[in-house]
Amino acid sequence: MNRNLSMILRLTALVASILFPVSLALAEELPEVIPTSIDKGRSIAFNRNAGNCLSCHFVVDAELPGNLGPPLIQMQARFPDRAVLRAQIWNAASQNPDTIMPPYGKHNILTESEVDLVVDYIYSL
Amino acid sequence: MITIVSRYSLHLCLVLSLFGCGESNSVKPGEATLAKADAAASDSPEVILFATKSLYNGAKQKDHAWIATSREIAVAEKALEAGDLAAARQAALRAQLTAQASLAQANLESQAWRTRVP
Amino acid sequence: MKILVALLVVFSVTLPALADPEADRLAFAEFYLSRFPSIELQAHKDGAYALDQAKREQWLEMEDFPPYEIAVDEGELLYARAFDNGESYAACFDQGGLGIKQNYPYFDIERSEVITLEMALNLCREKHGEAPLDYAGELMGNLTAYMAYTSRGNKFAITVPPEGLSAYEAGKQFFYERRGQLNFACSSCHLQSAGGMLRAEILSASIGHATHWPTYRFKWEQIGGLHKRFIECNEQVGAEGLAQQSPAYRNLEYFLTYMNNGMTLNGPASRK
Ligand code: HEC
Repeated sequence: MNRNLSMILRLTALVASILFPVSLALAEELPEVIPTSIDKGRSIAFNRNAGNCLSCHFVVDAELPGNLGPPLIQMQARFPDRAVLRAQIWNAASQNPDTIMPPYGKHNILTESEVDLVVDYIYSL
Repeated sequence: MITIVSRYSLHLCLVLSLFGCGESNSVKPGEATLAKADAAASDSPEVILFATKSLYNGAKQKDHAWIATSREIAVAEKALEAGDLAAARQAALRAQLTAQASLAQANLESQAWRTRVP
Repeated sequence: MKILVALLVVFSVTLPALADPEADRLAFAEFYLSRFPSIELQAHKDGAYALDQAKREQWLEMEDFPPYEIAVDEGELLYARAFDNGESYAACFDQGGLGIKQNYPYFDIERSEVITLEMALNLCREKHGEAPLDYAGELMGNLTAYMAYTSRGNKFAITVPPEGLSAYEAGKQFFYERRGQLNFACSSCHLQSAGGMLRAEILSASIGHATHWPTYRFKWEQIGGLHKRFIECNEQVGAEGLAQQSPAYRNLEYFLTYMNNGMTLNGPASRK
């Protein structure tokens, strides 16, 4: 009887682990999900008091994005050289003096490591 | 020690601010600006703050002051009051960087605005 | 001789042109006409609501019960009230102060500075022994609302005497200079990007920016003057706002209003 019960329990656990892998992982008390640099970059990019990229750029799953700058899509195709993308965020005026894009690095709007995180995120789009 | 710092702080500040202004134009993308300023500046948050306030007032006189500068100056002063020298120093350095950048902007813009008139 | 002519031509191109406000205004108007070919210049007096039909309809519904009506009524009472010395505002202005807003701001040659309507009201008070009103306060809002109301339908006719050219130039420079940590000029948003979307906001043209003040803004929950809006537009790019009626803002208003010459006054107005 006892053995049957434990068998059923184990089976249920197995089925559950297939159906609900995440909840089971939590139940096993794995370390909580550590945000990747892309996640961190995303939250900086979305934060109105930090990157606030959505004021001017379309980004997937952004609510009411602006349209003053180009949509942030296919970034790896548009910027084969990652360093060029980083320089664009650091100070876009070095490429185009008429740009209205804020110089996030040059004016210390973001720190150097925050710029890196935003690049990680943008480069994943 | 304190008297030495205060006796020479004015000279130091002048040197620092000159150095700072020259530098902000030549910063290249990717350089760790805060770390650089950190290495260049004196150890005393008071001295950094003193120099930064004069830069800030210069920008203000040109109607070009930034909110970020006064915000960080306030943070630094509060930390000083609380005796947290490390935090005061960090905030003072952040204030200094933005004060330098705001002055550089004012200087650049005193001519650059003409390019935008239709 | 040919060389001399050539030199002259080169110089006249490279030297910064002498200030010519009327040439500036024509180029300014031309810019918006080509940016918005299907919109009449006059329509820009409604700001962003000239550029978006859905927003316009919402706004027109709002205007069915104008939120500035009380300010106009209270302003009328305030305006008529006599000072302690028996005089009143009417004594300080042409036409008793009614229907004159199209001439403000002007350059006062004796004082060698730009005088806005708000400042003229306070100068009037001082002249008659009254304490000046707070520029950010409700009383000033009400008074100017009434004066704007009596000027509806008139067209801006700002003049720049030779003595006022440097104030005009200073205002022009302020308008085109990048400011703040985010590095925007007024022109970055309201000229270069006019018609574009900043988040959910559509950027209005500066050619209608002077016509409708003071304005009741639902965000402010009160009536406020043009300089209050300047402060907000400065601060949103990380620049410190200046004091209302500071010399720099008065010069900016002078330039901006000159650019609005010929536009019909429609103040006070309401905005989101
Ligand atoms: C970052 C973009 C931005 C900058 C820079 C900016 N503004 Fe604005 N401004 C706005 C937005 C957004 C609004 C509200 C929507 C609209 O009317 O355009 C606005 C509104 C205004 C209005 C009110 C328009 C109305 O119809 O009531 C005036 C006037 C104005 N701005 C003037 C200025 C001046 C002068 C400057 C420079 C000191 C300036 N703005 C800089 C974004 C900006």
